[in-house]
Amino acid sequence: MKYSLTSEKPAERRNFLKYAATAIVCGVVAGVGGYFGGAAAVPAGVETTVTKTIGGAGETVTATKTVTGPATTVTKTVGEEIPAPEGAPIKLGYQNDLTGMLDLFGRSQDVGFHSAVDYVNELGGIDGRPVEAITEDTEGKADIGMEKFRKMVLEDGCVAIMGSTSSGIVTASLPLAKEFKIPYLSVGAMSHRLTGGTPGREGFTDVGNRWHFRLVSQVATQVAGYKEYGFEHIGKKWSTMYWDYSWGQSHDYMWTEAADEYGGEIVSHIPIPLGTADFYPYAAKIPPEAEAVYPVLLGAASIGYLTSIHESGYDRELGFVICLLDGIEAETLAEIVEGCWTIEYYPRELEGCKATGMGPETDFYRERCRIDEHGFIQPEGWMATNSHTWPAWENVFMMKEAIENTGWKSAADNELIIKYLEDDLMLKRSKAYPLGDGWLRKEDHQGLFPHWISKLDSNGRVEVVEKLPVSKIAYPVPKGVDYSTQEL
Amino acid sequence: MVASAVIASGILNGVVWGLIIIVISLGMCLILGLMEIVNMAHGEFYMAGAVVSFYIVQWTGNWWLSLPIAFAVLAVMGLGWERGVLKHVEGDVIRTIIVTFGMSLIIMYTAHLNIVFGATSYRIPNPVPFNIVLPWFTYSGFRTVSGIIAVAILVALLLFLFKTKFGLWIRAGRTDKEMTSAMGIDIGKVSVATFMIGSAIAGIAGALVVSVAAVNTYMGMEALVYAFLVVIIGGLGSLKGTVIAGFIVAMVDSLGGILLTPLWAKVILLSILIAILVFRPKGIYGVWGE
Repeated sequence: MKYSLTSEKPAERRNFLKYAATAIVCGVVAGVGGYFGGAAAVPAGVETTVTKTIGGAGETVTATKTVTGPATTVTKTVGEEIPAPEGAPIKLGYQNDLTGMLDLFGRSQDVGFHSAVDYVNELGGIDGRPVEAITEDTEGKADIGMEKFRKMVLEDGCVAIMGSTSSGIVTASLPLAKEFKIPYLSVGAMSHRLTGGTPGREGFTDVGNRWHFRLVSQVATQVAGYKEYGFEHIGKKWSTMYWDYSWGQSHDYMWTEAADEYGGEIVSHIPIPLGTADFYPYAAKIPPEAEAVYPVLLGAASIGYLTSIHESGYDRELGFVICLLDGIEAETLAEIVEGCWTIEYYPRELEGCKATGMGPETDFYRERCRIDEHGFIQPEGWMATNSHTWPAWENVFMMKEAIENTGWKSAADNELIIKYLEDDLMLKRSKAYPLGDGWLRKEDHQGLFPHWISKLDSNGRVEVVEKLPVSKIAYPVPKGVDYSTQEL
Repeated sequence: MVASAVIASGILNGVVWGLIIIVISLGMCLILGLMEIVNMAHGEFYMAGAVVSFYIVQWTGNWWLSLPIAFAVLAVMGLGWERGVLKHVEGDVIRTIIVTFGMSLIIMYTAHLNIVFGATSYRIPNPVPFNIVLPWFTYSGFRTVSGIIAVAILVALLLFLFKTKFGLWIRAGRTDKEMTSAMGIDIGKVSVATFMIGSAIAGIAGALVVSVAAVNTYMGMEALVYAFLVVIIGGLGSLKGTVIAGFIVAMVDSLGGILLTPLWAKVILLSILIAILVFRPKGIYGVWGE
């Protein structure tokens, strides 16, 4: 009788092969060095000390946590075969914005998502089972996003959903995650309301729930990291100009709070309705006393916005988070954005990654996602949304880790994943988590990772100036927010 | 900007957008007046013109070249639709609405295909990279040039309609199609030419905005709404009414957006539309009012 991993075989032989494969994997994981790189792999049972500084209050907390070497750091000994995954696939859904206002983000993040799934399958899948990636297009609309969420869960059988970049779509879909008991992992939605919000402040209260997690940066961390640059180096009097929905409103609110902290002033708030085509009327509203403008827009609209502001004769400062230019080749806008400071959540330029200590893990990640040294996805040649794509990659590995460390077998066990993820999960820099050391906070399910302050040069290139450690971008858990106490 | 500069820039922006809206609306008005076709696909011709212009700029780097090319391409496209589809439903307003709505969807979703244009929005770099600097405010050079070109198109169209024999035939056909035909004029050819002209000027209007508004496959819908507003407020079939209504609509939209909010500007516009429909259903100048 011929035996192979894919053909029919006696049950006892199949079980033996599974156990053998597991033993090999475990042995390799417990080993040191190998293909994954020694410093990046965390051996099982090693104690790691991580210091958390809670921003704002200035309190420093030293956390000592035993970090179990995650299954994601499976190392491969050269020449050793990893068994192909088999069995019923584990389906991961992506509620992605492939068309509409956020299409620049969606197409890039889809590359990250599928690249991660491909690599996981090369590693033997999750718990020996193949992973199937399912992407559905939200068209940038909340109703469509919700419809696709339902479809992926009820028809396709997805056991977890990666979320849209639109905070509006995620807000609308959060109740579905709770209803269907599906882990909902944000990829790019950044409204601070999704993980805690501002308790007691009407219009900015929490909309999150226990089923939602967000690795990626959000408004609170961005403002925490950027405000000093903004108010100390750029100007004191600002105008905010923002897409008038959850994400833009978050920025307007938090930048206003930051102004109070630094003795600055927001001299005008200029909301811009979603879908605006001509930004000139809004540019015309910038008051003469504003020293700087804080624009909060993204996608192709950013080009029109920056062009309009330039055409209106505005020649003072601009200070913005990278969302404004992520996915956009800024060379054609160099005249407008030269010298502007920004904050990135992953450096666009590989040079910036290397200069701030990122190692071969980031080379690997960029290679797998076909992101070149200047942030372009090849061979297509379009600019990746570099600051928003890495969560699409890391979320997949986070799910792998959670599933393999909890004995999860099916969606009926999803509560195990929730409990695992909210156990102050530490993510060590590795090929699975190339961004760097960080953690997923238990109370508000928010990830805290390094950020980068960068500046645009005369060619529109985004050059890293300084890496901000977690202590610089952390902020206190919103008062009264603790998702871990919610009923599952 | 100071308040006076804000208002001045709003007026200027309103004038420029008004001219572009008038160019789009005149095409629709001509088609409606002569052929009695309510062209629900008119906005998509505008979108198609913007797409053509975008590609010409991508390939040649020359926005100026894209203007006559967009004109020509949309004229041919108009010819194709008129001969292939519309000639079978001309004269039946309800059927033309349904058929042209179908045309609109076909054009939009064809453009949506990645091999045609795709679902992503694009802008071209400003082809007129200078600003008009006045003592108290600055205005975009590109918008100024677009406005001047729109004026030139309007003047050319009016000269064509009022100073040429073919233009006379078009106006005669709009007044009385049967009598015009009885005078030996091939009204069929006149209708075809009218549809081609209407489509072509909608296309060139699209080319005029490629650096102002994002080029995407949904931009036609918004243009159609404005075109209908103008045509109804100005008076169905009235060229003079279309011109005046175009400026009214653009000014309200522009100044309302700056002084109030864009949402309130739309509310005011629609209120004007309702008032016109209630108190003066024929529009400012009514049918055939010149």
